[in-house]
Amino acid sequence: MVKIEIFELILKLIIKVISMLKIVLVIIIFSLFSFSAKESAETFKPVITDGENLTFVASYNMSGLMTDIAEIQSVTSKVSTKTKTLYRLKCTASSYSKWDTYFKIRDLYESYITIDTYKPVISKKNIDEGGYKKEVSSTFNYSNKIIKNKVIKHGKEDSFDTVFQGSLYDLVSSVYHIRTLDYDKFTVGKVIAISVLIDGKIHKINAKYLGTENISVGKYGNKKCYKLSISVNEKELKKAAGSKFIWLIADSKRVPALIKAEIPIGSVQVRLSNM
Amino acid sequence: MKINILVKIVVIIALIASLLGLVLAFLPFGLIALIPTLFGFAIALIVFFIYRKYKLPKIVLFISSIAILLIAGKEIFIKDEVVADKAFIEKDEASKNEAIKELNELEESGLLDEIDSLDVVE
Repeated sequence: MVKIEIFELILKLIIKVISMLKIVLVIIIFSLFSFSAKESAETFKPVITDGENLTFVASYNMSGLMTDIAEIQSVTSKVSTKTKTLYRLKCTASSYSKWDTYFKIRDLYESYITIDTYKPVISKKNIDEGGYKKEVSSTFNYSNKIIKNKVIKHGKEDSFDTVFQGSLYDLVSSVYHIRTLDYDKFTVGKVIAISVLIDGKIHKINAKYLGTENISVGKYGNKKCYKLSISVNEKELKKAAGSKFIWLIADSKRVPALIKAEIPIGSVQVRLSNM
Repeated sequence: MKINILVKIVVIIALIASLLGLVLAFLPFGLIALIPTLFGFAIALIVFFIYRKYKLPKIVLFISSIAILLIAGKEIFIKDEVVADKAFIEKDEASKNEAIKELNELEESGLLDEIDSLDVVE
């Protein structure tokens, strides 16, 4: 009886960690996001390159002891229509085989963006997390500022439109946009406003620039990084230090080196393992 | 008498901790399984040296030791890897083809040309 209870507790913990992983995936992807109208002068030269392949490891950390949960891959490639070429930004999350028996994750996020403007044209999400499946497809229409969304959840299909104004990015494209910012011109404490489309809804997120920091980036050794604090609401923004951080390597590519999100028990980390 | 009860309670807590550590060691919790294991091990060790008459601390030490060996063995010999998932790869390809088809439709309706005329940052 006690063993069953312990096992149930463990399963609950696993589910909690995995659900946090989802949040981190959002943060990951967020942590890097888009920007406000004032940023044109601060925009860095484009960092998107065809064939870029980044690998990250998502881990749960408790009292300094970690367990790796999933591998996240971010791949950039070009796709062509009859006359045009666009970037396909793909982000996948796959749980390690040791977790597959308990909670298998196979998430696919895609963004099709224009090469010159980095504007998302089609955004797709197809997730499978422990049997929970959801598909979301959003098509951006810039002439009438409407996004056509299609959501398939539990086999049910739902379609709806979202009206938007100003700059808007989806999860994956916002990652790449944040990397185009010239942080050397930023002052510490600068807040970057972010509008991101998630599951057909627009979310406002703020990223606060906290300066540079040297951190260990696995096999690449110590790297100077730009540190950002991510907040999803005003309350978090007012805090001196947030609980979600991202470090971008301070070079021309601005590759995310580490993402950390604190949760009630421990923290979830996503660290760069290969680039 | 009261001390005896207190010691028994402490050892039972250590036993539960080490059992939890053992269960976590079998599951893919990695080094996190060390937290309850070492807790149980440390308490059992202290009780063992102070009150040698009890047998339970020895059992706790034994369980904890097995858990520690299991955790260490898994950390050293088992490498984390993602299994090549054919269904996932197919899903990826199908999604890409579907998107290209949709992009072609957008191109035919002239929507892609409108995006090209947008500023880099609005």
